Amino acid sequence: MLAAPRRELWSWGQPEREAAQLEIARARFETLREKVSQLAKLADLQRVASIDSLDDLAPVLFQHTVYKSYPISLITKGRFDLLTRWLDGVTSHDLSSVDASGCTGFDDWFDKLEAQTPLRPHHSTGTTGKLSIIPRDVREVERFGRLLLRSREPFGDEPDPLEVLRQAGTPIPIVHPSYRHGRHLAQRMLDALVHQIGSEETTYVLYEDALSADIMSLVGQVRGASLRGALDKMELSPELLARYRTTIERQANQDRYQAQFFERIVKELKGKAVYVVGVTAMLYEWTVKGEKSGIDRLFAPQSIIQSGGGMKGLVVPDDWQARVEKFLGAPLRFGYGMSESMGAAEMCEMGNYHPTPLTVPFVLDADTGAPRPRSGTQTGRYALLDLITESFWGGFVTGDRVTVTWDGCSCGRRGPYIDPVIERFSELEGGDDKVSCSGSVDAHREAMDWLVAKAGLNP
Amino acid sequence: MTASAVEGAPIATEEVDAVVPLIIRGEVIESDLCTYEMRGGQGRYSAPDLRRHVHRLPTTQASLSDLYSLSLDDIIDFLADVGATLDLNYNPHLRRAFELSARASGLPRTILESSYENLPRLFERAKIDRFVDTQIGRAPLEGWVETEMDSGRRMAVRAFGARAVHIIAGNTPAIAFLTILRSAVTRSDSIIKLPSNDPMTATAILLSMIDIAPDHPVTRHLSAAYWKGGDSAIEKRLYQPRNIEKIVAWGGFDSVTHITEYLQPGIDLITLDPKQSCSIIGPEGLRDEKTIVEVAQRAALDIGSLNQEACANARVIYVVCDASDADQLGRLNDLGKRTMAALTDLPEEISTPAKSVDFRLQDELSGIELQDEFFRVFRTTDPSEGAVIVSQFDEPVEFADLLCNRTANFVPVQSVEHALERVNAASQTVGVYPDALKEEIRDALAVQGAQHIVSLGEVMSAGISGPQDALETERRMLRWVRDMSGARIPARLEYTVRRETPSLDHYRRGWRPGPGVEMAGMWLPGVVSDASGQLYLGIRGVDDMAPGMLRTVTPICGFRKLPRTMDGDPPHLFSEYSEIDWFEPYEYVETQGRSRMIYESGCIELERGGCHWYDASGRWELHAKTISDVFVVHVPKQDGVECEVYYRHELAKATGKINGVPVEGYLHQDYSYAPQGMVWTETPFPRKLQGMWVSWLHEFDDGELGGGCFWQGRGGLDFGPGYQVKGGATTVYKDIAAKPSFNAENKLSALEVSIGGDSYQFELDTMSSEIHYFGPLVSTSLARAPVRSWCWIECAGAMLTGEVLDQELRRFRLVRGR
Repeated sequence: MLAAPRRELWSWGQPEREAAQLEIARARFETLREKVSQLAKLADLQRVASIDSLDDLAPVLFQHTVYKSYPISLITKGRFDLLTRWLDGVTSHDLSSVDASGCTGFDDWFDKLEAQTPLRPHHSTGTTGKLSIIPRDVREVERFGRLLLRSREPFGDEPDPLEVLRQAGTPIPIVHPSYRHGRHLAQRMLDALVHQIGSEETTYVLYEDALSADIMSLVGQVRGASLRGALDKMELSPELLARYRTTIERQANQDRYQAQFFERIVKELKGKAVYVVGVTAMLYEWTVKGEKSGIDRLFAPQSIIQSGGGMKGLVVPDDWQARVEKFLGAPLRFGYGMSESMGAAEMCEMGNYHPTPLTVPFVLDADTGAPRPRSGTQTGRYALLDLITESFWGGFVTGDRVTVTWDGCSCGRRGPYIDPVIERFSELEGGDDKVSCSGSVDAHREAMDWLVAKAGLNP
Repeated sequence: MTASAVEGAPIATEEVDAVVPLIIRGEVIESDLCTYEMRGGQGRYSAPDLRRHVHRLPTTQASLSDLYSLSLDDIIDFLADVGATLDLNYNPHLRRAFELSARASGLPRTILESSYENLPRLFERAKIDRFVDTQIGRAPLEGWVETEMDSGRRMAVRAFGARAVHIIAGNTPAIAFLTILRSAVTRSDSIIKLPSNDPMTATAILLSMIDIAPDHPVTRHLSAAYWKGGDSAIEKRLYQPRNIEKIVAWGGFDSVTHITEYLQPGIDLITLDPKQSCSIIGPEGLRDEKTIVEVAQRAALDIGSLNQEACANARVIYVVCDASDADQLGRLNDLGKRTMAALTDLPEEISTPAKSVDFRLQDELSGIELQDEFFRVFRTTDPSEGAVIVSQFDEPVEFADLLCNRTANFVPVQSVEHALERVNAASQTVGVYPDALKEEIRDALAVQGAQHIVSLGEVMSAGISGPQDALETERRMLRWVRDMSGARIPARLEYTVRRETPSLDHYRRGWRPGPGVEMAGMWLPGVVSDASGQLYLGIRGVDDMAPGMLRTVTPICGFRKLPRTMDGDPPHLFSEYSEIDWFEPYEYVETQGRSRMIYESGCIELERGGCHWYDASGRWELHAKTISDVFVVHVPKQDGVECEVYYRHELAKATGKINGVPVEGYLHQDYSYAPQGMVWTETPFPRKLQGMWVSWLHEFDDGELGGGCFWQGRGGLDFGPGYQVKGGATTVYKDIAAKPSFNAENKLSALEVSIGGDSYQFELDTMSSEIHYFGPLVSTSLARAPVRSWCWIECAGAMLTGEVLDQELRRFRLVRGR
């Protein structure tokens, strides 16, 4: 199954697909419960001894909080030895001999882990400063790279967009308006793309260096303190600020750098076939800017524009997507995925997300957490088991409310698909009489202003 | 209890509908209904669209006057009558409110039911009496409470109700009861904004009031309305200083922040913002198994009561122990485990499994549950039963703000100080074990910001007495009006006058007019003139500000030559006395016939028949022969007169020289006597009794002398002691009356005096200061007219206040030692 082409996998019927999934899931569970102590504990708590059906997996899926269940004070107090011990509980690799003493931050710690173990972890954005840490290893990273390209494999009589793009035979220009390097999932993804279809020379990024996990955590911590009204209690060492002066300065002057980057893209890539990875809100901002300058069909039509991430609070007109596509000259391709899982669910031409058959999707009852029937249309909390991962447990419950229909998408793919309307449970909370506040954007700005002032910078 | 309320049959649940009427001061409105969703999708209720009625919500401040036709007891009686009808089984309004809350509230039916059964007891007479006593005190609600201030001033304070909007919280129905109780006893006009999680309790109480007495002033000053919090169409209109004086806002950070948009001068915001509470357990708590079980039960009560829906519930519990010691950490984990067991054992009227489980908390619990390194989680398989997290190091979980559904976090701390550091202004209640520790740390807790300190296990039994969130809410709801009065002047002043034949003893320093008093100053003024009619004034004070010292009384008297004008700023005679008040120590010498006071710049000699006053450099020299007896006024201590005081006066004809120029006139001696340590200006005499003082001497063509001295009371005070010398005889009076005339500048221009059967008319033409007048005696009722006269009047009216005199005394603080 792992080797089968997508074209084939999308044709499997539910009994066939789920039987194969169950077989792999069972093997993963049996192996990993011996080696991953947190999975062992969950299985004990849930009294799950064996997996006889896919529904048996539901109680042993990790909550999305598991990969950030370490105390944040370990970071602020520099206890990376204890953080390593915590990570040891979620990976099958033995980390007991890792020497993490003297680590000065996340970046340093990741360096040491990668030097001493096969782990190649990636982290989340961590809006409150606490990063989720997903302990992938070398093999999984390599597999992730291959899967990433295969996720573009077409179905039915669709042409393979990647094949079309690669026809030129030269490295494909890759556009990513962010950092070139780093351990965030986006940078790991970029690494894979550059190695497999592009080249360093044809890669267009906003910043050539690495995105720092420390600065990401720092901004999050400051932002969290700002939201709590506790900025005055926040203490940062001058060394830390000095170390991240450049990144803080860049964040503060983002608008200017973005504008320069945009000009460079227009100048050097106009009319070319490219692979773009960018958040939708930013692509929309490009469009507005481009329309003003009279730019139309920026890239060649066979370009792949991979997008997602929502509008980040921007208010957009109804025809935004058509305008963005007209400006870019190629259709937007959306996916639904998360840091914790390997395969994203790609959006088909009917506008539905199709989870790859290499992940087992679940819809859990929002109140009880029990699995809802694997048939018909179900609404509830989305959970999945990633069958690709072997060194850590890929079973995972999201914070998203989704509607899954178990078969029958008109695009022809068989198997479950997810309605494009996906909501965060945390945003659905709050009563009828809730007084709204527009905290988040302000809080980020306040966090940045605070850091810029602390670092003595003048944007 | 009214008859109608008990006669009805108990109400069946099916009869309950979900219309929450709008109540505006006794009027029930059920039109223009809008439907609202309850929190958590538990159902719907409808209420009149307030946008259509908001214009009728405000009232005027003057409308509150009807509440003052009632005594506090009338109000309490009424509340007690209403309370008697609030029986959940018979009162249809309360029943309906309960059924609605049972769906809308975060609390389960069992707890709500016991709340609705118990809360009406807040309206029992004895309970309200105690509430009034502890929260405000009866007296200022009932009338003006008077306090005597410095200088005999009086302050009266009374508490008046204000117009308020109460944005109440609905996590427990107790808040609705409490708000109505507060409003009634403070004679306020209150508009209650109902919360969506308790949409009808306040309304039900008001409906019950309307059933009993729709026109009662208390009923007519209570309104209850539902609108969606933040609806600016309503709030902008309502929250205006012309409509309300106070906003009492319970509730979240967002909603209070939102209200601040409407704040402007004239609106007082009283915020009862959401708080978190914690507990601190001393090392004693882990002493042995028996103690651990007890502490677990106490902690469970503080965590679980009202299902942890209240801000007073414990969430993070700090335990003093050494987390690096396996035995101690083991005991802490045992405490956590036993607390979880105690939580599940709580009776269902106090605590039950959660009505709805907070999934964010569950996600977090599931996240940390799988590792034992940093946290231990104790819980059952049913997430609604709650959980106990035991931190294995000295930090609470990062999601401590989310703790709910009976979930607590035990945190080991090295010492009590480490726990104290974490207490801040958002820490409402702190439960402490044991009590001895509580007493030890309560000051520190309070300084850190804690507002309510309580024995562990007693958090939810604390009741409604005392301050709330370190605020005296009831007192803040009131308008404290102050009425200040000047010194009280007794309506009928009691005093005596007498005359004594002068003896040598009168001129000894130790002479006293009666027991219990000492000399509080003696003054020797000379009012004399030369042949041209040029008038002079000179005064020395003896022992008047500092015992053993003489002074020149410079600020307003001193030694001056008085031009005949009313300007009041005459030149000084001797330059050395022109700038400051001179003090000189004197030597007191008693010889057989006299008492001498010798000082550097001169000497005063007193004898039975007169006195002598010398300037050492010969510039001033007066010799006087006494023409009167010793006159004494005694004002005993009485209501309005804080201490007894005597005044003494005698008059003498003076002759002498000033700068070599012969002069004639009078010298008098006057004395004050008061309790030891006081000086004249501190006594009631100048502060509240004195309106005018007159001392004069006249001479007939044959050399016969007459004159006298008298006082007139201040304002309307009937006070006219004095004496006159006529035909060589001194006669004392209590009823001397003087009628002053004033010129256009409010200066005293003439005085018409009647003493006994005689009358004297003075005309004033000279002023030596703002309060000192001089002038001739122009006519009398005596058989013949005097040829010469010297008259000195002190007339300060209302200007001589305690503050003015105290200000004068400030200069003598050092020398007087106070």
